[in-house]
Amino acid sequence: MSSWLLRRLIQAGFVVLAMTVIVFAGLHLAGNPVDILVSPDADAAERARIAAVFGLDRPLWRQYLLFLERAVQGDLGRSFIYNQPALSLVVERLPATLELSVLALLLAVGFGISLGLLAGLRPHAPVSRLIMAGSVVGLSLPTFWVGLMLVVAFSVRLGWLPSSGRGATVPLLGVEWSFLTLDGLRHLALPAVNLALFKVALILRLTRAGVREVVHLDYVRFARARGLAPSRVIGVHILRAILIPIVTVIGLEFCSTIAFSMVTESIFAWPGIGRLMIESIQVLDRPVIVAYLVAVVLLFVTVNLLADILYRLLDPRVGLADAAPGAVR
Amino acid sequence: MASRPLAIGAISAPNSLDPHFYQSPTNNQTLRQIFDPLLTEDAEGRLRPLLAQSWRALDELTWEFTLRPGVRFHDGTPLTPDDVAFTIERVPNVLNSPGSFAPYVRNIAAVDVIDATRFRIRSKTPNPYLDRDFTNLYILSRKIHADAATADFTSGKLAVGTGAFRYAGFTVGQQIELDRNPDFWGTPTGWSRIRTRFIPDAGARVAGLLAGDLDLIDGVPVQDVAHLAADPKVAIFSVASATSVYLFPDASRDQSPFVTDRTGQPLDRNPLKDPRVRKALSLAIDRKGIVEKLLLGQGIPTDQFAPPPAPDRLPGRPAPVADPVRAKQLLAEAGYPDGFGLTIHGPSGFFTSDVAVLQAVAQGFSRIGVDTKVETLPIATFFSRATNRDFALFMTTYATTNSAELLRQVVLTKNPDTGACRAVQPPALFQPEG
Repeated sequence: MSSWLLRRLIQAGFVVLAMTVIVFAGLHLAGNPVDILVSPDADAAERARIAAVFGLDRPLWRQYLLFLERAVQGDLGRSFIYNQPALSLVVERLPATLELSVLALLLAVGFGISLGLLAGLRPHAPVSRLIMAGSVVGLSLPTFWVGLMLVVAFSVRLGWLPSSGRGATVPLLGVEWSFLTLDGLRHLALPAVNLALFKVALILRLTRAGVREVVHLDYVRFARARGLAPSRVIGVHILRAILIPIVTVIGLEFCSTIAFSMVTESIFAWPGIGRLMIESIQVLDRPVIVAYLVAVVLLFVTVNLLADILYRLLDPRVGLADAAPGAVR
Repeated sequence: MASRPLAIGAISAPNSLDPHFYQSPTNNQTLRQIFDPLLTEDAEGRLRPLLAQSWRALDELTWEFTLRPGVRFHDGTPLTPDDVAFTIERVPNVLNSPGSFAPYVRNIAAVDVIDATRFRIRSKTPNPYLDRDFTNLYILSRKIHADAATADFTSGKLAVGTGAFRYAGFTVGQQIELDRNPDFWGTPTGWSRIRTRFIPDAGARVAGLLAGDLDLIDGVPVQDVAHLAADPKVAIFSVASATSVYLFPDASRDQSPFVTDRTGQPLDRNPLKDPRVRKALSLAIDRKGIVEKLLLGQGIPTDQFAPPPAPDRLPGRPAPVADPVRAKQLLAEAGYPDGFGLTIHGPSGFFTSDVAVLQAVAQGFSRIGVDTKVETLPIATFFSRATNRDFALFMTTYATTNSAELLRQVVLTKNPDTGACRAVQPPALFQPEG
């Protein structure tokens, strides 16, 4: 177990390292931040000063080595734009994205699994057909369009929910959260639904497929024959057997919601890290881009780790060493 | 509704509340509510008194300013001429600035305080626009801000100015809240509290306005102007902007990238060096059509370099008309009766309809025989490549109300080898309404 964990961490370290090399090289090729930041009437002296302040006047390999040297000490550099440590900037924006993603995921898991069970257990009922048809719609509609439609319907036409922003926040553990206030929840509702829609459809289809597969297996029949309550048959015998692919998908979806919810964050002006990332890319704010990607890589590694541990809890036959991709016994 | 703050949705967010940290229109516009400069420009680009009630040039190097008496900072500290001296000292020393105000003060030799309101600014070399340089430089107090770091402004602790509003809260990238300054030296504002949220997405701003979450938005997308104007609950304000969209030809080098003959082979000389070719290209552009069709009327075809708010604008110039026949003649006179091949470049997502505008320009060029391809790039890449002189002809913008600055920054180009300046004449396209 511990050697497996260690191997995982070393792998993650290499991924982060490779990522930073790619980002440094890629941004260097893309352009020079000085050209974007500087006021158009600035003189050559001012341009030179900016390049020197950010260390952009040095050769790229020197810039990279300097970055590595500082990164080892936990300093990922200061944002060119905000003059704040890049890592703290990312961490500051993370709670907004986190609460949005968690709420979307809860909605997705709650509705996805229950609707999927329903559709799987009674495949020919009209309601199941309706659910399946709805899931196709949910999978195929683009997020940005659904988001705009939600705003038009619930904010502009009906006036029930606010169109954008985070609303009132209250501090908990030193961080501002929206989900603890009624106003914040009202602001969360539309973006969370927008993010959840695709995931509900995905999870419900996976659940349904799993249920259809196992419901005819002998052990389910025997469980029924033994006179177990239907709730126990469904909740323990069926659900547990089909959860492994669902847990995998939930893990990946959770990561991608946090990392790539830029579209939803833009439409609802949600001040999360997705928006920070887009803005940073536009002005080539390298320290922020690197800090963000480091955080995302670590997030993916952690969540995948948790998913692997969950597999083992769900299915004792899964050995953790086997679960590690590429691991050789 | 008196208790509700005025809710504004703004397209871009300031990166700091330190008025000397970053010289950008967004920062200047936001911080102008909290801080004041010595002078300001009115809608016609003329200088108007603000913290300085009068000013004049005594000789080529010396300017005398008189401060408005009785002005106080938000904490009650009185404004003195020494604060102007402090401001000028502070500007070059702001750490890690991604674009500082230093170019405005680099030429200043000294500030001589004469009495409680008067002071003289001596410059190292003559600067006829010295007064104009003080329209974006916000005055801080030596007493309050002597040791102020940029973070102290952004946290609100030292965001203390002389302006009509006081700091009431700021979340980076999210929103700023301002309270009326009851002791403001000028006409008091009608709003007791303002909350400006930063919403880069145009659709979200418009939706917020229609839903009643926002009272005022900027950057109204051109395609929404018509239906918003028809809505009785919405009023639209527009003003001719100081921004000119222009094309910049590579008129200085003997060979230019992206200029070929019609078969794609490199040319032995750069046709853009010939003024007749540049004139022909200018005549090929249907400026009026671009403004009417692509900007839906939200702009003005350029008849001169000076934008509409420039005070020294020449009135009554005829609007330029596309004249492909004359353009072809000029091309033939220049030795290109069959035209040539060209790839033009521009930014995408930089201003309204920018990609479509560049395509329309290319169609105009192609019509007179200059076979033109379009390449658009994200701004992150575009400006670096434009600065590197990677392009033969590119489109970009410049904003100023001072036509001399436009001539200096856009028309006059410096030869990096000799340092000599020469003028090329890039054809301006239009001036959008803001």
